[in-house]
Amino acid sequence: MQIHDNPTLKAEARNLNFYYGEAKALKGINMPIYDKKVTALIGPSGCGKSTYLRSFNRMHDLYPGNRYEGEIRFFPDNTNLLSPEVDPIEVRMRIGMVFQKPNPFPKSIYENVAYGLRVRGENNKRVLDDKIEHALRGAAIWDEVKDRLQDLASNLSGGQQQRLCIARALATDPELLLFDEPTSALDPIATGAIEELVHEL
Amino acid sequence: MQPMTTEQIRSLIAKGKAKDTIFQALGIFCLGLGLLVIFLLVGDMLLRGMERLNLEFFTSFASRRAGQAGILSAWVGSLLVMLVTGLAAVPLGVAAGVYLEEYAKRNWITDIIEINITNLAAVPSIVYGLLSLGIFVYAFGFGQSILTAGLTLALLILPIVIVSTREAIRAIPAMIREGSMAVGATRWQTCRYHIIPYAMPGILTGVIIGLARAIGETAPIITIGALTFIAFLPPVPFTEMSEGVSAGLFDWVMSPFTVMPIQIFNWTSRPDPAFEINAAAAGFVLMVMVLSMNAIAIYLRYKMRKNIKW
Amino acid sequence: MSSNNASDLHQVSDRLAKNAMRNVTERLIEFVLFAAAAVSVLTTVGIVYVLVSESFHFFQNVSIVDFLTDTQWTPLFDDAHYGIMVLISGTLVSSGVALLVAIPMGTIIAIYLSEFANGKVREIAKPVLELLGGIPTIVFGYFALLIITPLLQKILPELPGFSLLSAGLVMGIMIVPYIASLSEDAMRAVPMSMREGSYAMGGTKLYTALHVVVPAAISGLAASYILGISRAVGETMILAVAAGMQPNLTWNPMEPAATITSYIVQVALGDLPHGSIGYQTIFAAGLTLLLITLLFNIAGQWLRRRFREAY
Repeated sequence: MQIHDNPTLKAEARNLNFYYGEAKALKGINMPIYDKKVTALIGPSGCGKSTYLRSFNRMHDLYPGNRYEGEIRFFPDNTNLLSPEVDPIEVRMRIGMVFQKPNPFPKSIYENVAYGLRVRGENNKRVLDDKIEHALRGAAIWDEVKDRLQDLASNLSGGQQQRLCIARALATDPELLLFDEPTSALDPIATGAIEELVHEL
Repeated sequence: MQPMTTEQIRSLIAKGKAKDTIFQALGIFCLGLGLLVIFLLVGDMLLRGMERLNLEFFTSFASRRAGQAGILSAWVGSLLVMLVTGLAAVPLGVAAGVYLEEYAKRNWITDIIEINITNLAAVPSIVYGLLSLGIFVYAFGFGQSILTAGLTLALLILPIVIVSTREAIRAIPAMIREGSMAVGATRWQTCRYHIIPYAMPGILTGVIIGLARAIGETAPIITIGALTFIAFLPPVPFTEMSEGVSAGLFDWVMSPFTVMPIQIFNWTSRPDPAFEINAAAAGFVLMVMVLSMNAIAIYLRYKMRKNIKW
Repeated sequence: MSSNNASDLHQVSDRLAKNAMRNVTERLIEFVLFAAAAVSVLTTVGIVYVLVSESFHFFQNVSIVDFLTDTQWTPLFDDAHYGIMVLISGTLVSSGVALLVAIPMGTIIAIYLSEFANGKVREIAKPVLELLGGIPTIVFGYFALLIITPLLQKILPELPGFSLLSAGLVMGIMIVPYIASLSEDAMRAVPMSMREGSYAMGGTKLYTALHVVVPAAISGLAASYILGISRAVGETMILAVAAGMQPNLTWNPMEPAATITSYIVQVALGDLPHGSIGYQTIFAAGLTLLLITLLFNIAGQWLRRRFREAY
């Protein structure tokens, strides 16, 4: 991780409130996120880390009754991610996410990583092969899976699945990558590998 | 691949959303088609059969003249067959459900019974008719009677009653069972005073759905050789049948009969279009019976979900 | 339960005696309940016994080769032919038409209800589907003969009054609720985290449904299709009313034809003497029907396993 003397702002939460129905889950959050930096959120369970994180890619829009207040500014174009005029799908295309529990799709390893690219309409085999190798290498899992790319992703171990999910998120070059406690469901060795990986990224 | 421009991404998303919208419309259309079929059916039968839907229609026997024919023997027959079906299927199905949930040990016998019940649900109903033709009609000598028909349909809906009993029992938390056992009740006492009463609404729902299915079943009843033209009613207990002989309490179960669906089938298969009106009117009556039974079951289940909170 | 004097002791032994009695009652009740559960097995045994034993008598008179290869089915004529293919063709054509309607429609409804519709729509739609599924098949037969056939004849003037096409179409409508509701259950069982994964990549609803939810629920979908096939193959009254009952070896849905089931109904409506060969044909036909149902079920199980591995 590089230390910039003058880090550029990538995103900034301004007076962010969030409600699950009537229940207020986030209260007046103001927080800058810098480009090319790891920003870590620490707090007891249930304090709203996940809720906060999931606001960034509008995951809460999937469920009825959820409501945001305030804004999350995203730079360099200074869009408010939470604005109703901004399409959540567009937000999600720019911001990747890795979840608490590994959630590979019921597809092959190859197709899992190709997923985001295919969503973007990319079907060129050469481009896909290239990007997938790059992403799998980036997630430090290439050596383990390069000979079994057509295997079902669910046959991988928990730690491998989570690294696959990271590769899946990396494949589309997201501007911001959200990690929601990606190691909480894993054993210490797999945890160590993923922590190291996040560091390298 | 060049990084996509915002415009490219937006047009991609717009395309994706258009597909979403088209699919959504398709889904609503398909659902609407189902609803339309129900309305079309009920509406057509009501309009076509309107002129025959009067009291006389319910109190007249079948006749060779369309304008005078009624459904008396058919609805009485349906009612009596359902009575036998219910009396046979409910105790059997509930007992089987209770056994499988509360008593059965995990062994191969239980496995066979369970696989069996699943498979029976996929057996075509006409095959039950053949079973009953071979066993009840000829081997047991019940003939083409209300008893035979009732038992046939009871076997047919048995899986429905068993499955709903089991689901209802499974929804009862273990603490109820433990609470009863803890005060010294035997397993059967627990079942009788706790499990079965608490499971009753669920069982009832299953029984109504089962009977609604049975009342509309035609194929197995035709297969056992039920007559299509019946111009009399089964003997009422203790009334005079012929000179000096009065009917016994259960004589009606051995009586020949016809049921609503067979009456409709008989009328639709006649070339004279005048009978189509009768078929429509009888079909409407049958639909009202079946749909209201189903509606009651759906309502019961809805109420149950709202009320019961363990 | 401590006792201090003789009379108390006496009471205790009395209670023990009662418990023994209680045990006998409990055992007896357990046996009765077991017997009730065993009725379902007896039903299966009875079905197999009746079909096989009557068919056995039938095949003593008719060779299996003729049964499978003859192209005519005229068991009640003087010049009797017993070519079951005639009835099988009608069954397969009508089922094919039905499934062409039911599988796409049922799947679309299931995807719509599980992935697109909100809770309110679902709460209304599910009971409507259930009501549709509860309509007696004889009423559907009436629908096919008196509503759908005249309607189709406006588009296809050469369509006869009885046809596999209109019976098959209505059968399809009848099967839609089964496929829709079972498929929807399977898709709703797919964990939300999998959908979130797809949405987080920028997937749209339809893309997520088709590329993540459907593959994840594929074995449940397959099970619903198998049930649909069983329903179609075993359906009787719609065909007996709307497809005509004359045996006709055809693969053309525009023609009238008898099916295995409608033949059984036709014979049962007549007055064939018990034990005659005509009487035995319906059991041979019934056995064929059961075997076809079984075959589709086994094929479905096999496909399901293959599918699971392919992903």
